[in-house]
Amino acid sequence: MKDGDKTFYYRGWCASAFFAGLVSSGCDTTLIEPGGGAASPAAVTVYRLPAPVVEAAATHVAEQSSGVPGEIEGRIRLKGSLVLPPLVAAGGSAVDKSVCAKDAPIPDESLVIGDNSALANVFIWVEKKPAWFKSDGKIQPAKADQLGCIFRPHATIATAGQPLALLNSDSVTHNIQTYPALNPSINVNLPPGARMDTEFKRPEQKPVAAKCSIHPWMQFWTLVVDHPFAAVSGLDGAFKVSDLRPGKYKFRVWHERADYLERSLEVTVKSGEVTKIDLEYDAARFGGAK
Amino acid sequence: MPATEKYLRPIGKLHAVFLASVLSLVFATIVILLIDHDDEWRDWQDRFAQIEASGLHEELQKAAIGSDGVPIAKTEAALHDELALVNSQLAGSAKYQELAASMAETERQLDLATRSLKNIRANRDVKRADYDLSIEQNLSATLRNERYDAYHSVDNEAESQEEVVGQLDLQLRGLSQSLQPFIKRRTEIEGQLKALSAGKTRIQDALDIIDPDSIARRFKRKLMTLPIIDGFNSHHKVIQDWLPDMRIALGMARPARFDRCRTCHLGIDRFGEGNRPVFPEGQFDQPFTSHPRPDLYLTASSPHPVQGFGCTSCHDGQGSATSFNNAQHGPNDPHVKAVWSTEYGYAHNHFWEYPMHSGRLLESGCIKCHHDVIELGVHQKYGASAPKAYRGWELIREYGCFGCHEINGYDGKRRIGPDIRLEPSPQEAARYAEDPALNPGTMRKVGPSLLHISQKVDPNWIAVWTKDPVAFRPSTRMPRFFGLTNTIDEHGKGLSPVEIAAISHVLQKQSTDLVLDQLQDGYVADPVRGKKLFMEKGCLACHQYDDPDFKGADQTFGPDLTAVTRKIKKGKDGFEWLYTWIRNPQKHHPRTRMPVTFLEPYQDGPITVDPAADIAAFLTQDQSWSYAAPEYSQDGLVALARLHLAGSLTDKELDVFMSTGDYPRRDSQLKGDDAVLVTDEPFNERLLTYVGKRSISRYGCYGCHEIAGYGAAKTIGTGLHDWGRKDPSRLAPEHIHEFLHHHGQADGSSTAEYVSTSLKQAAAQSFDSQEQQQAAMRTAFFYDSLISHGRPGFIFQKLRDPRSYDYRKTETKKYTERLVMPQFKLSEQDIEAISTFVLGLIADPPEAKYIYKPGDRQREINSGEVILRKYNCVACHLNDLDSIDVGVDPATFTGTQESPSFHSDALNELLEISPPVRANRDEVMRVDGVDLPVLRFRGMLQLTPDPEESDPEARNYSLTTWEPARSILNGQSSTTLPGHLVVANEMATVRVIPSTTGSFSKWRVLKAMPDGFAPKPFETTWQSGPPPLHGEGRKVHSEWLYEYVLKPHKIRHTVGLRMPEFSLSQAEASGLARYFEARDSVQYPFKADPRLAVAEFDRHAAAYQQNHPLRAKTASYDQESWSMLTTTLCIKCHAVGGVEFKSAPNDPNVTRGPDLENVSRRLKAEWLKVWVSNPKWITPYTAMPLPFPADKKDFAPLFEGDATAQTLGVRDALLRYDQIVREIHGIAIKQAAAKDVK
Repeated sequence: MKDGDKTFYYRGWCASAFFAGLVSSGCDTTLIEPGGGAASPAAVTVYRLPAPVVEAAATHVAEQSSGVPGEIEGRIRLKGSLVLPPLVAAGGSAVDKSVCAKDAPIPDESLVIGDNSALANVFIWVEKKPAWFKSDGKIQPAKADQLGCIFRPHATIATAGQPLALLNSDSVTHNIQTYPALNPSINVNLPPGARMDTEFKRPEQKPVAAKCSIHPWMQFWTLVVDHPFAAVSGLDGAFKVSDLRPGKYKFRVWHERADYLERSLEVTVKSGEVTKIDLEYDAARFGGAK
Repeated sequence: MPATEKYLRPIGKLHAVFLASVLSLVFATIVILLIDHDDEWRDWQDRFAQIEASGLHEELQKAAIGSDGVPIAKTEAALHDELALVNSQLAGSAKYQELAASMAETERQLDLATRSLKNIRANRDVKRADYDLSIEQNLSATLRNERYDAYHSVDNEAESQEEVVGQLDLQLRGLSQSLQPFIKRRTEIEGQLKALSAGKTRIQDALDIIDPDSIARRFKRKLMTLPIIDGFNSHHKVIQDWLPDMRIALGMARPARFDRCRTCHLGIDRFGEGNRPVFPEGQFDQPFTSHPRPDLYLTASSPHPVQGFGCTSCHDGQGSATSFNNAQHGPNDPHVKAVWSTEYGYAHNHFWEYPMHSGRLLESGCIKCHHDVIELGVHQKYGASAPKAYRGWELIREYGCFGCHEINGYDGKRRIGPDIRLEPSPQEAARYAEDPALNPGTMRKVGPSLLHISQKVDPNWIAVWTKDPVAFRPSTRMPRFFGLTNTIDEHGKGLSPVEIAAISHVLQKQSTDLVLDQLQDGYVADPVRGKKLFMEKGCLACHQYDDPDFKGADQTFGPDLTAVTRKIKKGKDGFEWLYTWIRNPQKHHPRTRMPVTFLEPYQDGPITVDPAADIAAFLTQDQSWSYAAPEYSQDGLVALARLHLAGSLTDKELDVFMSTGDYPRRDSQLKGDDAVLVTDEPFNERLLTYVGKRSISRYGCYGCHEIAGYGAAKTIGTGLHDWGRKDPSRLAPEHIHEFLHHHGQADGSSTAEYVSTSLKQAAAQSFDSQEQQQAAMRTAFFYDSLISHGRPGFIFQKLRDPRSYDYRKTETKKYTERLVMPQFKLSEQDIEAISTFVLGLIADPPEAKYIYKPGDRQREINSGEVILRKYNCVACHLNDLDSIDVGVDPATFTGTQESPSFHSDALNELLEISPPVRANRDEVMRVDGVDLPVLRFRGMLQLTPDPEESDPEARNYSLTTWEPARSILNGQSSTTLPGHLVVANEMATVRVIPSTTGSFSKWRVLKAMPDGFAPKPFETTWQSGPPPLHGEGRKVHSEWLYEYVLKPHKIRHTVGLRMPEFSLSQAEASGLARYFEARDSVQYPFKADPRLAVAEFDRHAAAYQQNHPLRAKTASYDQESWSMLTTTLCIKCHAVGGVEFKSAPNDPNVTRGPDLENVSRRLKAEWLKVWVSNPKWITPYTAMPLPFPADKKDFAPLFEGDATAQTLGVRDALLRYDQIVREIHGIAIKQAAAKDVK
């Protein structure tokens, strides 16, 4: 992970405020959100009902008290080894040779392993927005770029409602098609230097894939959440989720090659303390030797 | 003694007799009147009036509260008070009084003047007529002039009076306007009061009739029900539907039909707004409930209005009856029958030929008018309206019942019912070709051809299979012929093996060999790759294979291939046969429905892959099996041959023949199969061949299989075309009652006992589940019918255990006389479906106007649906849409909002070629005490609630819509466009109806999504599969489609499996082409108008000249469009204009669109415009991006970045491809070099 990418998802956290406000005020009636970004013809219609939420939220509240917020941090490692060949060899691109993999091969970023088997690009997030969480309403735009026929960053977190700028810093035309489940998908062309503004209006249940159909190896993942308690592991396998009130939380852990690594990882946050969690997963779960 | 009166008659006595007879006559008359009056229908009408009255009282109570929650009476009182106040104020106003008085005076004058005008006009008419007469009668000029003057003066008078009236009218209007400010409030109040009381008055008026408050009216109502008096417009009335053209068969007579059912079934045709039943089932009991499916039945707007169809035309029974018993109601099971007989004294009347259908067999009534049946199971508007009868029809076609039991739908030329017959054999085809009046059958034989069987299967396997097919392949549709109840006696045990061995012998003896395809030299087939290809190439769209990787793929169109290796000839021979079969099944069997799937060898990098060989290797991996040769006894063979020969030879001749082997007759006397007995072959083989051929004839094997020498053989079973009215006395139940007393159930136990226990359970309501009760009552119903010699029971048992009718008959029947109908593996539910269909075959169609005759469009749709199912097209292709019904909040729902990226012209075109459907469902969903209107969205379900998800908020459905839909909420109309994502929480979802087609494709998608590493997204998985056919008729030219289905070529590079080539007839191909157009095209039949196309192109070219004059100087419109098509975006994914596709062409991850050369032949111009403008409006999952958003200015200088012009330019360039290529590149014919010309 590059430093710049970290800033990107950090901004995502701050921006979550907007959506949180929207949900807390709007989920007691049927909420309909018209879609239709600049180039997106599809709209999304959302029907939500209030009743049973109250009970579920109540249990959350009971398990989480007010107090000095704590945080959790940890590292994720791969058990065993797995090396993936590059997606495109240097100079081996069938299309747009002058830009894509011109000098260096394009690595297979579906599995990025750092030193000491550190596993990058693992998403970890609080399964459901805590009932006590209220957004401060501040929102900042985020961006995703394409450079050298690689999406940068490869894994990122966006907050529902956060403006997202898709850029093309290459000198060839790219295309971005997203595959969300609960938001309208977009499929647009980005000529060199173009910019496309979009957003995910609703939180998703899993990270969303996005691809370029002109350069089939290009892919990146975005987790859309309605709270700031989410992280992506860095090249050192490290992640950190801050500002959690003391109590019990259920986390989900997900990686693009393995689907859910944890569906319901229970973590207790203690008042003002840092809770350490180190996770390790067998390489076989990522397509390694079984 | 004088003969006086007194002498002759004792007067006193006479008077007494007279009095007595008068009294008794009066008494008898009264008794007769009373008895006649004592009809149960009067009670039912009174009861219904009570129900209606109590409903009205409830309504009245509801109506007493206004929509604002305030009692109406209170609001009314307040309004009355205000009205009084306003009136008193007006009374005090001098200005108002003056105005009102002059208005009244003017009104009076106007009235007088208008009347006078009328008189004058009448007078004028007289004068005009007089003058006209004078012309007609050629009267003198003087007289004519006189009359003309008279007319003229009256005409003047009329004109001046009209003037007066006009003036007065104007005056009145002026006054009325001046009065307005004074009376405005009064008018408002009066209007409100009227509106408030309107609902109440309607209810009160209705109540005053059926349940009046006043004692006098009550008395009158009671009085009107008394005998004799009730003849004078009483509310007790027999309600009668008279159907002069829907005649009823009463023995030999065919009088008009009178249905009086509605005399008691009073709520049956009562529907409120939006066809909502007023007396819904569940809330009300019979006979008062409203009929189900008012969209289909009874209502004037339905296809079966009660005035035209009555009741008994579908239900049967005695329609003229007005009592429960006489109507011949049909109980649904014996338990209901018992309840009815206790409660209503119900008894079945044997003499009524067509009693009412019981509920379970009701759909058989549909068949008499719906001869093509398909519309009863598949209909765009009505859905499956008779699913059981349709299922029966389907089963008969699938199981090939018609191979033995012909269902001839024609009586000469006249259509009398469904037609399910074998297509003519080549021998018969000539006869049909000669006489166009003959209607040949259309069904192919359901079993495989046996003409080349020796090349295909293991020689010993044939007997194993013939003996018990289900034992080898549990899911097979081939029935069992041997080892059944009438052949398991000593006789049968000895002779059945002979028959099996003999049939196997004949089939092999007659089998001929074909030239098989050979593998490429040195090719080593790879079973592991074969397994992968087996899945990828679509084999599972029709076949099953038991393997954990194929879990959920349970198509039954073709046979289960799990154990296929255990039948295919061992070794290289069998492998080569299978290889040939997979590559081109029609070589082995020209009439097979298995298509050519284009599994030709291809290069995968450095290696050659022969998919057919790999798949064959995968299927024939297991070679560790063997079968022993079939065994039979020599004595048995001789005995069976003797039985068969008993018809042609005497006992003495037989003795000689069996001992010497010399057939005792000369050649000219040989009959049928006897010919095989006089060959040079060994005696034993001759006998075996003879017995085999006789057995094939006896069991009718050729009804399902192609067998040499049986081309002209007739079907062996009873024709079923009129079985539904077969006289029950002609059925032969034999000892079936006895059989069912002792046996009958699958485990051999007694059916009688099972039924009696079940009925006790039903009475005690002690069944574990509803399904269990349903199953038990089904058996009970048919058992009851059978022992009362009913048709339903007979056919049910015939299918359940066909040989049971030979119970203890075998003691006196020779082996060759025994019943041969085989045992099919059918569930009792399926048997019921088949029975429903067959009981509907009465070959007695009503008047032509009642026969279902769809319009041109619907007819094409119906026959297309049959073809789609015949070839299982709908396993791969989604042909209908998923739908979801969701309660929405009218305050916030907006439909799809227009985006600046839309091209409005294309949007209009979309709505024109695909007009919006109605989304409103006329129902509400109550959520937290609020009624939310329900909307239906149709498209593709993408997400269903994750079963492991426990958070109700996260349990969502998502569906992407595929059709424009219009919804009206609170009077506001909004449109939802295709590609709109609807996310519905499970709690807001009323119902989800998944599409019924494309099950293989859905399985493929599910399989690809969660499986393995890096799951593929929904969209890309669909992109790699067969395309849904929704809107196909809007998209492609039918001429193109016709050619394509006959000879498919590769279009989509992203699709892993290719459209196969079926053995379709030309008629079927054009039927399919018409089907899509009839279903999808707004205009049918669709014909493009070339003038419009040219005009549109000219318009675009002119707009280009005008809007982009600088560009126009350097490039013509064609050139500019061509550059747009071939230099900017399209070439990224398509091969077009001689530009080859650049990206790695064999990489499965590469998105490569179809080549764009022949687009104009394939796609319709209107559709193409929408597609290029916004592909998601057509195919929401498409990989094609929104190419030129209206709000972007890309690809300048072409069209100076004008996205709309660019879009149209690309479309036009595609349509004018050939012209432009000629225009720009010219045509250069290569001159042959001189040396080549020689």
